[in-house]
Amino acid sequence: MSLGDRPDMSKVAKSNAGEPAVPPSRGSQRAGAVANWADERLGLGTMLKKNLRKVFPDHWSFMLGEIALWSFVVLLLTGVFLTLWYDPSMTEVQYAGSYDPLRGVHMSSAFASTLDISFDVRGGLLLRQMHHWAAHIFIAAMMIHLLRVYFTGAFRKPRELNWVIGCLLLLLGTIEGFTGYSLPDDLLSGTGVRAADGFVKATPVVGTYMSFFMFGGEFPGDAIIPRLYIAHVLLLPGLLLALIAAHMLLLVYHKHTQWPGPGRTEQNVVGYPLLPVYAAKAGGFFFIVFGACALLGGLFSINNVWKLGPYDPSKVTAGSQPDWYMGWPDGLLRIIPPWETHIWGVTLSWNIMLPILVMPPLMITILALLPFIEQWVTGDKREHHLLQRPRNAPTRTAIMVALMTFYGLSWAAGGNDIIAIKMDLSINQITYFMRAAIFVGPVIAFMITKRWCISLQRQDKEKLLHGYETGVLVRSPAGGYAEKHLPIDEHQAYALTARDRDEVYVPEEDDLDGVSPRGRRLARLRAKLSAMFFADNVQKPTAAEVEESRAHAEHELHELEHQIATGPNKHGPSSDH
Amino acid sequence: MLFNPERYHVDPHEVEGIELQVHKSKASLILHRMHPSEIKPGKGRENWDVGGIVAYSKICTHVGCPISLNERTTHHLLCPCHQSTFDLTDSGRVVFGPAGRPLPQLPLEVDEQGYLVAQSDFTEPVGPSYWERDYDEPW
Ligand code: HEM
Ligand code: FES
Repeated sequence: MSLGDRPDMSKVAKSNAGEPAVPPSRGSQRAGAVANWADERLGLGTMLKKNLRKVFPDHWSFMLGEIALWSFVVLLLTGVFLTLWYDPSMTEVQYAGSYDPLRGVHMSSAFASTLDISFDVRGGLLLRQMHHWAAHIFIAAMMIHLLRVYFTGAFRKPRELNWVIGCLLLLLGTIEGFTGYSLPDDLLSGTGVRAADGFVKATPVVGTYMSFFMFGGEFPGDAIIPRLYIAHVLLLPGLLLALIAAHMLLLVYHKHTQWPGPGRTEQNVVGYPLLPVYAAKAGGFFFIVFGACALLGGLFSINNVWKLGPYDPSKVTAGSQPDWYMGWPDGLLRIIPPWETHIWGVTLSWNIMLPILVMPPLMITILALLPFIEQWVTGDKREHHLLQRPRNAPTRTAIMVALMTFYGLSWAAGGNDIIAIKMDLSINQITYFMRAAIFVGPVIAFMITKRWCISLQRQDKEKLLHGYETGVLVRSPAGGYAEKHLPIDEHQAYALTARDRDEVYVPEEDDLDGVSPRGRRLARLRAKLSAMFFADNVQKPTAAEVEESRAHAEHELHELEHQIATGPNKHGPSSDH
Repeated sequence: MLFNPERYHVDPHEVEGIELQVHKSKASLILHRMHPSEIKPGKGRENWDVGGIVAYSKICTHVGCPISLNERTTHHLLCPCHQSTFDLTDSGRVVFGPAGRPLPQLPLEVDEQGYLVAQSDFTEPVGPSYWERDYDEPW
């Protein structure tokens, strides 16, 4: 645009200088004026008009992410309350509060203020326990939400980035939980921080430097609690908040996925509008989550830090356990053999590096990459807005069940001492069993899940082609018994057939001619994986197959009914079925 | 009384607060008594016990938990954190669990006044492993 073409802005500016461009009508109310004021400057009106009518589909499983969102809000609210009284300092004080057994005991200010919150601040214990319960719910809800998204294929294009954001949220949420758990500076959490020091020290080359940097000198020093506090109330919540905002914006931008059904396509969204229905539902749901946290916090004690007292590096008791979401790396740490290499004057602690420094980052990376790996193997670059049933992606489903099995077994290994005591087993044998189980278990789980999914697919196909089992047995004049099948209704048939046919990727030899050896190897690998993904799946029947089987079934039904009508036994099903 | 003012320049009674915590996380000890015949002394450790009394670092060589569970009949010490088990009859050898190194042993003796004292400091670093741990070792 040349200078001469520039629109004459002076007039616009002039007309706005005095009165609003559109004078408000006399009857307009204060609220309207405010809205108008805001709209003229921010253009909110147009944005809201579009978004208030935004449609959200409905399914119970879409509520899991909401639980995570609302429990985060509960954490913000209760956390702010705690900051009013919690003192993030390791200065030694002598406890003089109202909990008698600890009066006179030397402890950090952090621990003393946690006791004050629990015993001397009105409602303090309730809020502290709500905060801790909400933390459990937050992380558990994120995990289950993640499983829902994965098993239904909701992570596929265009939602891969939101999947990655979700994985980061899970990671940050876990770290946020660990930092919060450490704040009271009680015996258990201090022991956890001590272990964290051991983990950091096991880092090759820079371990001791990092440890001294973290603790501001030798463990435990007087810096770690204030630092964990800043991370817990500012740094990590800030990051979480930003990522949650991005997560929600992308959700709105992509629109929500929906289950296939009559009238629901890849191009539309069928559901309720944000206003009034969905806003009321979601808003109301906040109060349910808040209420659940309040009930848990009010009825079930959690983290009774006064029982074991303040942190003391020379004390710890049996059965010490971190919060459950830290359990799985702890389990790996327990069952790994004592591998430590001493070579050329340096020490390599594989027994710490593998379970703590390698495995958790590796698992999160694998999780974050799953959408991209699947996309590469299947070659599916299309957008997907309709969800899939887990059975219709047997290999995908089996991969996650294998990962879950690995997680579950590692987690159980983190309680090997508790299992040994409660079940009167030898801890050594549990440990040896777990060492094998974390490798064998996921493989078995993968195979069972895949076969299970495929059987379910077969059953779906059976239903489509031969109808459902009515439970009505019919005896033919010759004395044979047969069960009467009836065709399933059309809605159900639609849902069962609303899926794509899977195609195994087969590289054409001609196409590979000009390709580098590495490219060829990749193509072959992809072909193999693609076959593993798809080759055994049961495809939905073709339209012709369905037609044919319908005709066949009708014929069979007529036969049966004819036999019943003419046979000696007339108590069979009536013909109006 | 294990404190030996000639060899250790800190009086534990004067240490408090963070400094005390730092000391506790390094100097915590386990004193254990068994029948002298049960001890299988390691090489060069023949005179490290006094009448069946042995002293070991209480800080686990795995990631540093204080080890506190004593199996009385076997003289095994079990760490409550990840269940590493150390044999106090046998130079603190690891008999089970993820810890990679034996517990450091403190050599004991009796001084002229009849007090149980340490012959010297620990002969190796206590607590969890780290990269530079063997720098001083001849290799
Ligand atoms: C994802 C978010 C969060 C998680 C998972 C989380 C988790 C935790 C946990 C497990 C504790 C230990 C509670 C106990 O003493 O039993 C804790 C303590 C604490 N949290 Fe959070 N928190 C979160 C967000 C926040 C926020 C946003 C704030 C403040 C702005 C906050 C402030 C505090 C304070 C002050 C304590 C110490 C209270 C005490 O020890 O009694 N937290 N947090
Ligand atoms: S700290 Fe003792 S076994 Fe891990």
